[in-house]
Amino acid sequence: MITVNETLGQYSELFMLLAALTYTVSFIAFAADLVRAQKITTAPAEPAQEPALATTGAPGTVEWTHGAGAVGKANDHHNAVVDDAMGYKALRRPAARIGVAVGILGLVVHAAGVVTRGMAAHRVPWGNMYEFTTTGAMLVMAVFLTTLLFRDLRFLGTFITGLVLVMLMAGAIAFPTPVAQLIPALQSYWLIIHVSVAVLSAAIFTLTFALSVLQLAKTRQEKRGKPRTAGLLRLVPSPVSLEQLAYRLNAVGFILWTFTLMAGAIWAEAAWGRYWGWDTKEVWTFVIWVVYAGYLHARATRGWDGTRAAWLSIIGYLCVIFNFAVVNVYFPGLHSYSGL
Amino acid sequence: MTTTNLPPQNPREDVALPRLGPAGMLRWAWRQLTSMKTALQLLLLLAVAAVPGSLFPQRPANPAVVTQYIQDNPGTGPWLDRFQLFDVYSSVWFSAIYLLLFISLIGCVIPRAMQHWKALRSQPPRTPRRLSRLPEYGTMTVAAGTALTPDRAIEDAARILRQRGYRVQLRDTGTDLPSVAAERGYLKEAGNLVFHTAMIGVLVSIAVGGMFGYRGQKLIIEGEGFTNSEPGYDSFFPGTSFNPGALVPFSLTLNNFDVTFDRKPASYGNPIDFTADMTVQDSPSDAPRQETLRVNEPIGFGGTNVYLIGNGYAPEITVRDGEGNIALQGPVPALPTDATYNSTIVIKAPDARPDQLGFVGFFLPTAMVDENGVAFGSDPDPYNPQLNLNSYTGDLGLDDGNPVSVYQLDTTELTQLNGRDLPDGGIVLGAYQTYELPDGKGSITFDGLKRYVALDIVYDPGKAGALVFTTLALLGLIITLTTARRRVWIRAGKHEDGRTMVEYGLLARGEDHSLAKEAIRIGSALTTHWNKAHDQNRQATP
Amino acid sequence: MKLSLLSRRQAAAAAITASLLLSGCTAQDPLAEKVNAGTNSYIAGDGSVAEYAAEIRGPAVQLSGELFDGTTVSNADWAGQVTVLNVWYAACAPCRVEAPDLSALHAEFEPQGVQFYGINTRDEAATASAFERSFGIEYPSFKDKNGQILLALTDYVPPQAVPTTLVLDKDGRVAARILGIAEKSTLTAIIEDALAAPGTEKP
Repeated sequence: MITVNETLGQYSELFMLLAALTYTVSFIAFAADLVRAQKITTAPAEPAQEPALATTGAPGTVEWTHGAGAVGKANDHHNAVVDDAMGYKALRRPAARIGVAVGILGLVVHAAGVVTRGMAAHRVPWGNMYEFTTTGAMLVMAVFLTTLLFRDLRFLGTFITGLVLVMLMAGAIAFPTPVAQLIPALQSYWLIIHVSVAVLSAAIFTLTFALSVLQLAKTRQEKRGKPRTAGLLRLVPSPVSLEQLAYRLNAVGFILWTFTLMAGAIWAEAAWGRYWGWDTKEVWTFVIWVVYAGYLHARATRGWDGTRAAWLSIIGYLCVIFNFAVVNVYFPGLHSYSGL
Repeated sequence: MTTTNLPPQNPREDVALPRLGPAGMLRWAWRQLTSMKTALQLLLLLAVAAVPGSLFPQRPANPAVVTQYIQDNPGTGPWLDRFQLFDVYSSVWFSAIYLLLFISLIGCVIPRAMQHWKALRSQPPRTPRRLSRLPEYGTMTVAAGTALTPDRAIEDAARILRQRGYRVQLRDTGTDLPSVAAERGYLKEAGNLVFHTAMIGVLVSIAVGGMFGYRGQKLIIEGEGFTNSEPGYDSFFPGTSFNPGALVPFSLTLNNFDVTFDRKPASYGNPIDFTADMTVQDSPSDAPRQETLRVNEPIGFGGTNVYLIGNGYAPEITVRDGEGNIALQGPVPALPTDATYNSTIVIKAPDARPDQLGFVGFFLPTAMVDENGVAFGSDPDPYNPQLNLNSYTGDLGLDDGNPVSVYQLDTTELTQLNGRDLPDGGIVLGAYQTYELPDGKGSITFDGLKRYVALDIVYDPGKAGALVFTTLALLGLIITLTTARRRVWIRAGKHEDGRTMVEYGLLARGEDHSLAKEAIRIGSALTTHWNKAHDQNRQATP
Repeated sequence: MKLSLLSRRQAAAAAITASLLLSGCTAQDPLAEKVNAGTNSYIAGDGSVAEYAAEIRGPAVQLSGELFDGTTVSNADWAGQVTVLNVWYAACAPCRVEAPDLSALHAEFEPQGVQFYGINTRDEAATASAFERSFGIEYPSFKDKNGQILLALTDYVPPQAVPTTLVLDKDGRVAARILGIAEKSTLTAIIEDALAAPGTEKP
């Protein structure tokens, strides 16, 4: 007989609280970075070092020049701190560094909270609304920090840490659920597969949502004729580069979401004898899938890329939020596992 | 005369649109339908159209709630119904959208597949005259005296490209300006086509299941059994082309049903285990075997699966009629309405004489009484089982031949004997108690308690196909979104001063954000190679 | 999460959406209409009659089961006789409609050797005998709550509804099947035909 370890459950809650406090520090640091960046002046005379412009072989033998062709993309905007390949000029951003470092610390503490929760219940820690939220928040943070290895997305730090804080607070205030064993309907290994991948893809969509929102904001700013360097969006790269990154992440998210849909169908078949039944949760999972499929197609359709595609990415994410927060809690259906 | 009265011009230019014959119209409509823009609009429309199905109750899922909704909203209800908002997923408009989408998809996939088939068998396209117009472009100059001829340079480049997975073709070798054309990522289009074709396969699989499959429900009380034949079902939904021969002749008996509830204070009363202990037979001639049926763990009988969907209590009842005869005896399933298994129960004794008897009320597994004297259930386990019933007499509505649900009793035409507001009060029956009805109409006894399981029995011949096609779709999707289709051209020539000039250009087909990286990789591979070759040359010939 | 019958019903009918999905733009079939009406009970049968000419009848029905009174009856007990098998249970509304006719036909044809057996799919003995008392049914019924007799019959002509009435000829082969309420005149004609035909097998 499985028994629930309540002491460990209490440790888990403590870890969550500590993680939230750590993230708060990280949030403040990232916010300070954005504010501070407004005042950065870049030396205009400094010759910009084009990273991809010239690579030279051993002297004398092969001389190699690689440069943009006629299509051209080396738009060096006056006084911009970031180029179109999301490469930043050498800037001192101590606040952002602190934000990342403290964020990593927060993630470690947060992970400890999630793991102890799972250990306390002797199962994966995603069986009710509280656990979906806390584990989901952890994945959002993890995806963000992982992406930092490839791209300097620290300008998203405020948004991400802020959202993670909101999620942790929502978990603690709106969905508090004591550690408990799973109800029979959730006793399946598909819980491990289906829900984890669903939460992971939601975390990726969170990131692309932020990128798409900033893409729209930046586009708007440019249309209004304001200099690209002004205001809090100073550190935000160009709309084109935001769009490209959002596309790549959305593609990964879409693959994972397709898998979520599939795994969910297989589980539904094992549990209810039908792999698809238009249950409320299934409807919204389908809607999200179709919206992101639309997004991917839009990128390849003339007249639909750019701003319109960004809107689809945003709508898709709003559907994800709705599916998670509203459908789970308020809509009756077979997926009523919120534990509330 | 003003310019507004221009003389008629060439009549051909007079009409805004060129005149289309019926065939032309069709061709135009087909081109519109299969265009990417239309496909995208249909896709987005599909997403929007699916939403109302989650906002309004749906008939296939819950017909009773729909009926109730229309009754509660006499103004809007019938209008919503007229627009099929209670049958969204079988509605004309939803069907129209997805059927158009699939036609558009087919119209898109077939020509693309043929095109890709051709592309697979043809060589990379000719080298453009001006490589510098391509999105990624670079040049290399190899010093004189390295003995690198243009042909040799192109061969080296071709080898490096082939190593990187390109299909290559050498062109103009032996001339002053030989070049290599290369293309890779044919799988991107193949994956795309597989994904879209698999979508059609999924739809076909759903259709096959809907046509040849069946689904039925059966409620089995402990100690009782079921054999797979249509009359044995409580409800049965055959596919549109269902053949009774598809019923596998299995049988099963529910020996025992175990329920375990969580007894931790924080999560008190949550179920943590449902286990149905069954004896099953694959066919009358097979030996019986023991099986355990659980939620998420169906029992299979050669393609037909039995699922544990629900459970509840079936109080054992005896109803005696006014003449002293037993009119009804046996367990009567009660439908749970909440997690505490507080259940509604309907008992019908149509063979009671002189008058038929009916009972409607609640079953509480563990009855408690609150400060107002109202009974409520406090635990899902049967610590103090109790029946709270109203009784009725009159025509129960079974004798006119219209099938009615066993869980419903229309009391409007009946005479009530017992109830909270009546002088005789409601019937409250603890275990093993008997209640004598007023006016000598008979009696009711609560003899005992059994558990039951609600089973779904499903045969879906499209299931395997749906799994295969969704798997293919996923694989196709992964391939198409992770591979890049690229073309590379490299051209070499000799400078007057003896240096070898090499230029390259790259072109992406479709989304490709690492084309620049690829250009750098190819460039550095070439540079490294020629540097090394030159070094070796120098060492070999001091 | 509660595994109540509510969600069971939801899950149940939700699955047929898949089949409805494709018939979406066509006229609704009777089954779908029934589902839509909310009476998701058994399939009642539409009274359709299938008669089988002597030369295409299947093999003789072989079955064995226990009656409510405990005696075991098998096909040997009706060898050489025309036999009527009626699937029923007490709370089945159409069964209650045809019961008086069956009772009358039993009284009419019993002297000519016609055997009547009920096959009760749901009731306990006391409930069944209350029904028999109500309608003056004199012939016995198999207690078939576990469906073994129904299953045995699926090898010949499956009863697809409750009520279903089967008429076996003198050789024990299924001569006719009525799904749903058996019209008295129809059933009379079928029994008379079966009586008129000579049996090929020896009793």
